[in-house]
Amino acid sequence: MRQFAVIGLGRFGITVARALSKKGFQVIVIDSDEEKVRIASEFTTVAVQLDATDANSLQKVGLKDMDVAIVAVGEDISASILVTMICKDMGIPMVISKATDPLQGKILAKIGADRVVFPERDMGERLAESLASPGIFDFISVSKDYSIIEIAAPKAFCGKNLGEVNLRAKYGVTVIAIKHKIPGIDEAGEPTFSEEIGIAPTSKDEIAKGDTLVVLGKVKDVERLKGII
Amino acid sequence: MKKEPKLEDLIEVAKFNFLSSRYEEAIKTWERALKLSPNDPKIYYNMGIAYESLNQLDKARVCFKKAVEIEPKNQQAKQHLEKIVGA
Repeated sequence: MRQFAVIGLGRFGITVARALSKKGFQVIVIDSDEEKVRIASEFTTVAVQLDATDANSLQKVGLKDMDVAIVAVGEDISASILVTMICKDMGIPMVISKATDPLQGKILAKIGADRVVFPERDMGERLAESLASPGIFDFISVSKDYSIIEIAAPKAFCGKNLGEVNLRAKYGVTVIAIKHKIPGIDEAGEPTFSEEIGIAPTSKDEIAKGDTLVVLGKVKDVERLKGII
Repeated sequence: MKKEPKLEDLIEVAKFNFLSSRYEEAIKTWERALKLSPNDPKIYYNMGIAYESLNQLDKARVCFKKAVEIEPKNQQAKQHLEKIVGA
C-alpha cells in the first residue's frame, strides 16, 4: 500500500491527511505546532512534531521510505522551497508542493517538485465558473489547453443520444461520463434518488432530463459549449 | 361538478410520477398537494428532491430551505440543503 507524508498541517494539509487516512492509506504527518500534531494524531498512522526544514530530523522519521510527500507549507515560501528540496534529495518518488502564487509555483517546479498545486487559485476558478452559470457544477483545469466541466444536460439534448447531439463534431469536445439519477423510495417511504455514473459513454447512450454531463475538451471549445448552457 | 382529489391521492400520484422519472409532473402534483396542505415540510422536501433530480438546484434549495424552516429537525432536508449550498 502506498505511503504518504503530509508536511504542514494548515487547513489544506490536514484536509489532505484526513481524506487519505479515511481512504485507508498510511499517512505520516509532520508539523512544528504541537496542537496541530495532536489533532492529526487522532486519525493518522504517525504524527510527528518537528521542524520540517531540518533534513536530519526528517531523515530520522523515515520520510525517505514514503511514496508520496505533500508539502503543504505554502504560506512560508522559503520553508516550502527548502522542504521540497529535502524531499527530492531523499529520493521520494513523488513530491507534490502547494504554492500560493505563480512565482512560487515556478520555483517549486524548477527545484524538482513533481507536481505543484494552487488550491486557492483552483478553487477560486471552480467557484467562479459554477457561479457564472447555474448549469455548470464543476470545472477542472487539466492543463493550459484542456479543461473538464460538469454541466447540467441542456434541455435541447434531453431525449437524444450522444450520437444525435454530436458534441464532438459541433464543439470538438468529448463526453467522458454521464451522471444519471435513479429515482427510488427511502426506508421512510419518501422519494429519493441515487446517482449512476456511466463512464466512457457510447454514441447510443441517451441523455435524460436531470443528467449531468462530464465533458473534456480544449479550453476554447469548452468555452463555446458553455455558451449554450 | 369535478371532485377535487384527496391529499393522500395527490401524494401517491406525485410519488408514482417521480418514480417513473416524470419529475416535472411530480412537481405539478406536489404543488396541488401543497394547496391542500400548506406548510407541509414533507411536500416541500419531496419537491426539493424532484427539482434536484432535474438539476434545478436554485428551486431545490428554496424547497429544502422551506422544509427546514417549518421543521428545523428535518435532517434529510438539512443534508440536501447543505449539499447544494456546499456547507
